[in-house]
Amino acid sequence: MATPTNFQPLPSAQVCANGVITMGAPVAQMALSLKQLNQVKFRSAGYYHVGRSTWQDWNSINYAKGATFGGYQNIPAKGYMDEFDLFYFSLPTSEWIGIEITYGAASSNPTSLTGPNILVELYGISGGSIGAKIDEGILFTYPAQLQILQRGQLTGLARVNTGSRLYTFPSGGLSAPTFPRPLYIPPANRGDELAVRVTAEEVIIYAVHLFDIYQEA
Amino acid sequence: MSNSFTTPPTLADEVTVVAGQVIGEGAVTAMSDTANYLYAYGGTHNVISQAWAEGQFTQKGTTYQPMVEYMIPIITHEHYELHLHLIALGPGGIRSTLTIGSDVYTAETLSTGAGPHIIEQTVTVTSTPLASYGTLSIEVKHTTGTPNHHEIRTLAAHWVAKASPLSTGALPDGKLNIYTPFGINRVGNDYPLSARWGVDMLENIETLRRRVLAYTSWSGVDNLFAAPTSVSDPAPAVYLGVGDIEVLFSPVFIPHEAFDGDNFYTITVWFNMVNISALYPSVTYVIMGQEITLTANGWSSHDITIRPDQDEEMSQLFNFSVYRAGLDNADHNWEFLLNIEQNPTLTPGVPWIKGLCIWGV
Repeated sequence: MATPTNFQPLPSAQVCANGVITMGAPVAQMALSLKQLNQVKFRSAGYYHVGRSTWQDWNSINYAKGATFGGYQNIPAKGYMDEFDLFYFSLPTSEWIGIEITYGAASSNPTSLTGPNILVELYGISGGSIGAKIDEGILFTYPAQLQILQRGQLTGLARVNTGSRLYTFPSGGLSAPTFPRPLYIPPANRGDELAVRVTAEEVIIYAVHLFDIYQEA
Repeated sequence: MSNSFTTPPTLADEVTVVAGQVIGEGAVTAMSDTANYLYAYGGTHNVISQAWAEGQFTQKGTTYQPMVEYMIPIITHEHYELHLHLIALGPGGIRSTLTIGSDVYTAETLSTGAGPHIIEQTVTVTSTPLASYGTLSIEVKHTTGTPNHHEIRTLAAHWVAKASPLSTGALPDGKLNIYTPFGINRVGNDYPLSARWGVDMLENIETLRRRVLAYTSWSGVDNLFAAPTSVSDPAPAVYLGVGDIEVLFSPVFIPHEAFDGDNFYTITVWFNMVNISALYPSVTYVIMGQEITLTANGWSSHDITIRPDQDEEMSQLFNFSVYRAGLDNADHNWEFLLNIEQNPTLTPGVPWIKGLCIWGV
């Protein structure tokens, strides 16, 4: 039976009273409600918005005490790197992490070896430091997944995500990042405090949203 | 009689308890176990998540300066450890203060690593919370050494999950809804399926449905050591501007029942305002289709009761209803958020948003 995604109406408490013949439906409704809570509501997530410089060299505004007016940053130069370690507090039921990234990319550079790309990897946290790599990660590349949206000399904004299709690992595991897919948390690491490392080349990151993929039980 | 649970829980197969089936103890035990687990772990993921680009969230001053501030939900009275993780650079200190009603709890960490390093802090709540929310303020200072500043790159926090077994007796959540733990031995074989079990299960499910989750958490960075004078200086956002309309929202699942106004499933928007005054007595913003008019400075909360449009692409990709919890592309937001005509340089008295947090169920 499918897992309900919304809060379904619960039976009246009267059906549980002494002397009432309990049919199956009320108990099944309770079981389904718990399944909804476990599989849908109480999924882990971390929604990171990335604060960037608000300095603007025009119209005498300069700092203007800090806010983004809508003109985004200058397009990143060749070789520009951006790296973030983002904490993900997984739950014992966490298994696959879906990702959505908001970004601005550099213009295509024919002399660039790789062009704009975003590498996303999953690490454990051990002894107060980033620990062992748990998932070799995924690579968003241009033009396969990333777009370039220029507004003059400024970047436009675009979004990219992993989708929710689950990945079958090859026997022997991975030794390099794959195409974009949800990141995998092995059973031994579920419920742990984890770190998602996002390394962007010729890409400016504005937001990274991490969330457990919804799966029917 | 222990209120124990397993992690992860084994879900009951609802097919075994439909009409015509004998209600076996296996399903009832599994349901009790799952409910106890959900009480312990539900909502213990990120309540705060925010990051900054290199060189933005920095402090050169050698005395503590309050720099960011958030509202966080008190998920239950049993979850009393708020665990913070930060990525920091340079020598300095971080002091986190959680204020719940009149109670104040603090954690402080000094570190010296020049490169990026993890700072973990635990703020422990020692008294029964008298409010359903708390204010978390982060202060930062620099200490002697190189580089000449203390910098934060990532900030995240979560409530630490409870270990098995749960405490005995009725357990209130942040809004005083009651959860009654199940003694796992009493739902085992040879015990009756009592009326109390059913009544408690219904109330417990309702309590868990109402538990608050954090959707969006954003704070401006205040009290830099000095205002920037060039493009190479730190210049993080202090307030929200029209440029944030395209960026500041989170893709979240929201049950449809949360958009009805006749139940307890609420979406709450918190604003931290500055500059509301006699000259500018009110401003209006639009969050998820709801116009919200603000008339006071500081933090204020507002419940949303209408249904926004879902994100069709994300909903199809991820197999359930995904909504964007954040600023709408609406006239009021273009008018009242900081913009090229209204900003601290040209119109210093205009009200602005210094913090925005959105919670749901």
